[in-house]
This record gives sequence, structure tokens and C-alpha cells, in this order.
Amino acid sequence: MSSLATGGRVERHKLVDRIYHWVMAVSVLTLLATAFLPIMGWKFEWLEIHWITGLVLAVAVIFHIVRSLFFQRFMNMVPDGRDVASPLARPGKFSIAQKLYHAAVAVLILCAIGSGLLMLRHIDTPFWKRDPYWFSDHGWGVIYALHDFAAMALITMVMIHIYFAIRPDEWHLTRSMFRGWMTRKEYADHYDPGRWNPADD
Amino acid sequence: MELFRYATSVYGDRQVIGASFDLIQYFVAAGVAAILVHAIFKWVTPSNNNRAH
Repeated sequence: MSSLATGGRVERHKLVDRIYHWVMAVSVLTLLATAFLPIMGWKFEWLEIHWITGLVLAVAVIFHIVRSLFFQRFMNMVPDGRDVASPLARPGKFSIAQKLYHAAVAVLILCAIGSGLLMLRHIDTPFWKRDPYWFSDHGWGVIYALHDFAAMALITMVMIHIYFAIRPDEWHLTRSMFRGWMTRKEYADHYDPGRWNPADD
Repeated sequence: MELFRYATSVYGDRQVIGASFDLIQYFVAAGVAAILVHAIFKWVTPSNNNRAH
């Protein structure tokens, strides 16, 4: 499907990017649930689900990084001068708020994944035996603390994300993450064509 | 309020073993606060399609 879809629709997210988004969403929610429900008293075998889901998320994020660097317009997600000079003007594909939110989530997710991958050395899996001597006790403590802080901050970010997704004035964005498109009117109402031309995506 | 979880090593040292999970409530509260601030802001200001969403 071309970026300017038929039927008065404008393509915002390609299928591959929507699949990535939902893989990431399910992964993050699963990781948060398996991390925090046991702490809240729901006892179940969470560790295997957690680390396998973490690997799924890591692979998905690597895919996203490669795709955004080499197959998408990376600068679409980077704040520019006009975002700063006129933060309330019609944006390009993403608003300054969305770009800053994405940057914050990227830092937290990369921190959680990086520390989580190191923490895999602390557990037995079918593929390797634990090696708790990779780091000193203090080193492991720092790694676990980073993982914990990133995970707790992601609770805040997920709450905010879901709030915006269910706001009626943001439904065109939510729909585009399910179905890929928005109407031409929504595009004309909300975006600056000089800053986002879907045909260039 | 503790920021970290601690354990005592075999040598008797107090070691950081992670962040304190008592902080979860504050991260949840931060999310609720951000949502309320935005919802109130949108409620008291007129909608305007010329603004970023």
C-alpha cells in the first residue's frame, strides 16, 4: 500500500511498524506484570516468562532501531528547531510531546534491556548456567537497581501512554496504530503538510 | 523512605541489591498526577485544531 492510501485515507504506520508496536506493547505489559504482580502478592512461576519475554522485547527493539536508522526517516522522531520555537503549532508526523515521550521511553527501555541482559548471567536457563561472579556484589546491586528503577518508571510511562490512547481527541492516532491510516481530514486538521508528507515515508 | 533494597553480605557488609519496591506507589502517583494535570488542562482550555496533539 502506498503512503497515500485510497479512499481518502493517509497511511501513518506501515503494517511492519504496527506489528512491532504491538509486540512491544504485549512484551512490556507482560514484563511489568511478571515483575510486579509477585511483589504485590500474586505468587506464580514468573521468572521464565519474564526472561523469555525480555529476550523477545530485546530482539524487537533491535529490529526497530535498525529499521528506524536505515529504512525510515529517523529525524521524524528527533525534536527540531521548529518544535522548540513553536511547540503548539501543527507538527510534522510527531509532535514535540510525542518525541520527548519517545526519547524518555527509549532511555528506560534500553536501560531495562541492557541491565536485564546482564542479569541473565545470574540465572540458570536451558542455554547457560548462572555465573554470579561476572560482577562484584556491589556491581550486581547497581545493575539490579537500574533495572528496578527503569521498570518502575515504565509503569508511569505506560499509564500516560494508555491515557492518551483512549482520549477521544486522540482516537485518530490510536486507530492508525491498529489499522495504519487516518482520514485526509484528520491529516489536514492536525498536521503541517510542509513538515510531514506521508508520500515521503 | 528507602531508595534501595539492602542485604548483609557474608562479611557483614550492607550491600545494595536493588531499588526499593516501596517506590512503586510514587511512580504510580506520578502517572496519575500527569494524567490529571493534562485532563484538567484540556477541560479548561477550548479545543483548537491548530495546536499540536
